[in-house]
Amino acid sequence: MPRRRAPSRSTVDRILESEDATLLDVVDSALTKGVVLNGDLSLALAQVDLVYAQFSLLLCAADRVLPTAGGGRRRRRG
Amino acid sequence: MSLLVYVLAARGAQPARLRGVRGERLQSLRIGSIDVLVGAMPTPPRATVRTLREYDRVVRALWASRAAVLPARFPSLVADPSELERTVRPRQATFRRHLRFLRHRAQMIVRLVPASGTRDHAPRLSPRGRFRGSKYLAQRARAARLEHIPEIGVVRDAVRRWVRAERVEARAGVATIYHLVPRTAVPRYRDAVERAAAAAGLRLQVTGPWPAYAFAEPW
Repeated sequence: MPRRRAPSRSTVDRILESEDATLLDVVDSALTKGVVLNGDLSLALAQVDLVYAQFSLLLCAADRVLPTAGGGRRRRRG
Repeated sequence: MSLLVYVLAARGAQPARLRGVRGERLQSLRIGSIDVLVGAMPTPPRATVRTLREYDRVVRALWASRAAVLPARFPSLVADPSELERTVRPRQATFRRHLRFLRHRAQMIVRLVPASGTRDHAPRLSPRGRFRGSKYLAQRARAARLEHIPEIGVVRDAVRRWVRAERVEARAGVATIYHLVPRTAVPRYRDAVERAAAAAGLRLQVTGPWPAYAFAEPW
């Protein structure tokens, strides 16, 4: 995978000075973190369903189950 | 009628007036020593910004009222209490152990853009749609290199004393650090990050405290 170039100043500004910084964290947290029991998901934009997915008895997050999905590194301390 | 699962929690009271994403009454279903907080609804909720904000509001309120919660990923739906019981009971000991680990702790998020850039860590599939050993090792090596991004080291050094667990992700040139810290340490954590960033000339964004979404999966 090619190494990415350092982001431009304007890109950094856009990322770090977002007026609604917590919205990104809300979406990221609710949709990609947490215990997955099971469920159906439909993503909607402007009243139009864009994506429909079904989770069935998936008890761990995909990025914990699939080995190469481990973009995150977690270290546990007492 | 389905049940939307909000959190798995240690036993405790819930805020009396708290309502769910659709204004529904919250129910606390006890499975062994674990409470599962759910709301009944006729159709699955859609993942709109408004719904996700509401979902976070509910999870946050439950987190604030209990020593520990395991947030469920949105939307975790079960048909009825018996299905929930079949899903949760076999893993009850694991959930209980994990709830003990999260007691009185909060998640903080630090987002920054490393000057040197990052490598993405999104899943990559081989042409056959399966992970290969060499690719797996390459991914692990890339993840390990996150440890050595200097800006992450600045943050880590500043808050080491409070951090009980850490998770780092990098996507699209943005590094995100999730730290699990004592709830009582949140103001000091934030101050320490901001002071360290100012001293190092580092631009970053700190949000929190959050329920421990990033640390909710038992391991």
